[in-house]
Amino acid sequence: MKKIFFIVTLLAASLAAHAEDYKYLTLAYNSMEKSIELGTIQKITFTDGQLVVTTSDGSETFAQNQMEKMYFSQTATNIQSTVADVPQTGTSVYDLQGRKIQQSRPSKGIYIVNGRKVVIK
Amino acid sequence: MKRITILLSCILVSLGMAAQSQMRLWHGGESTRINLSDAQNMVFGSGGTTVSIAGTTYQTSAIDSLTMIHQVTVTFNGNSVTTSIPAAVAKDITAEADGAYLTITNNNVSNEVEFVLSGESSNGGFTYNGSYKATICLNGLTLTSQRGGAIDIQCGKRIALVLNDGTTNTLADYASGTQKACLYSKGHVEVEGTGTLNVTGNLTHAIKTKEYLQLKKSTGAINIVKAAGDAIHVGQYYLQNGGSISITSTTQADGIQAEYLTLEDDITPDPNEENNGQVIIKGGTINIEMTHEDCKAIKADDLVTITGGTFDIKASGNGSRGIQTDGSMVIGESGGTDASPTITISASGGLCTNEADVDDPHRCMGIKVDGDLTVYAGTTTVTNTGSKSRGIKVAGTYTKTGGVVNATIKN
Repeated sequence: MKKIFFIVTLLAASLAAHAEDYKYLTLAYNSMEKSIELGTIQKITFTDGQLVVTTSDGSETFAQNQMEKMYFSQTATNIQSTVADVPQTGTSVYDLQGRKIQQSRPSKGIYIVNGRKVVIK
Repeated sequence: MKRITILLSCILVSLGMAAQSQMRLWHGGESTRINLSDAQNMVFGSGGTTVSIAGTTYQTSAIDSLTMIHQVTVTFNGNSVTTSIPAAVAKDITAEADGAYLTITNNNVSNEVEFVLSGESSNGGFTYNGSYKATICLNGLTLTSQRGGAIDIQCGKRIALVLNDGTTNTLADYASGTQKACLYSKGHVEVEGTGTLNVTGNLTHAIKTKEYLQLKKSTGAINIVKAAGDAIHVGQYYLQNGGSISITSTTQADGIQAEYLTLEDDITPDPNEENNGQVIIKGGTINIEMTHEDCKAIKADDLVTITGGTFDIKASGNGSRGIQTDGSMVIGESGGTDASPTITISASGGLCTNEADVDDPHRCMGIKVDGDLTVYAGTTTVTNTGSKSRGIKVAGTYTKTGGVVNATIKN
């Protein structure tokens, strides 16, 4: 019993140590986000105004002038470019802080519309 | 119960405390390692032409590339071993421990994984299986196997063996095993790092690589304490750019031997292999003492090229040779300075009349070249004091265009 307790304690300690063990690189660009598994990334280069991420599955290209930031994360984030010109009447619109938006035409930004992330351009 | 213990051991070795991934920023031909936690929020500016990484803003045009380093840590401690694998590569790497005998299998073929080995065990070993190039760092490792080799690398790709700066690493193998060497690699190995590596080969070779072995300029000291076979035995070629090699022969075997990498199931040298069968020394120091009969301090199947370095070779065993090649030999570079290399050999052994060569006793020689010997530069000194010993014997053509040769030459 003592042995099992000891092993479980060790396991718990090990798991806790993984708090900053990142698994993804997330690229934020043009109000969208794309996560790529770190374990697949071979290199990132900047060529002719393009950021190129070369992975074991191929390569992904991003226009540098649309790049906002890159960061490492433990979970993947993929915000697609869902563009809504105007939310339809009767829908609930919230900002990322959870505040309900009253305007019929919200300004540019990311909003939660009927439970989905939507980019207003 | 045993099954549960092994299972839990596997889980334990997979979930360590210090695994981490890092990013390597390449710029201007040099690289900087950055912890991922320090590189959060890499913000782009000026229309994407700059990026801020770990507090420094770079022009993206000045960045050659960003690559990832996934570092697996392996810590030996008596009869156990702990392994830590970063989450980014955890699905590709398995670690199985039986006591302090660890087998790592790496299925990641995207990017290089770095394994950092440290700690101490007098009853442990490290086996690595993989099919992609990898880095193995020795970071203060003392490992003695009671089953086979201390480090067994079953990967045919390039292995960077890093002797971490300021560390002393000591390996010894089992005298009654079936291993090919105390430190063995199925592929080619490139050594760097200013640390020290002491190797004891109790069964056969101390170090063996099936393909080439290269010592980079930054290499520290490699000391072969004992070798029941050759001290360093390589396939394809041996290339030394720097570092210090010290070999004291304790049995009837060679110091550094480069043999042909052959065609599959054939004894014919593979013509596609670069520098096949060669010894190439461009720098560093080599100190070898051969006290046993019929041994060669440096032996090559093909060309020996020495363009730098300092050699102190003592061939005191009967029939022993300082340097011997079945091919040709070149000393110094054409148009090079006379200062380098400096080769000093003492051939003090007598005749060797072992049973196999009773009708053809081997003389002790400083240098024996079956092909041609060409000297462009450097200082080569051979002192032959042994009974019927020789300084330099050249079967082919001897040409000297520069440098100094202080030796009796039989051509």
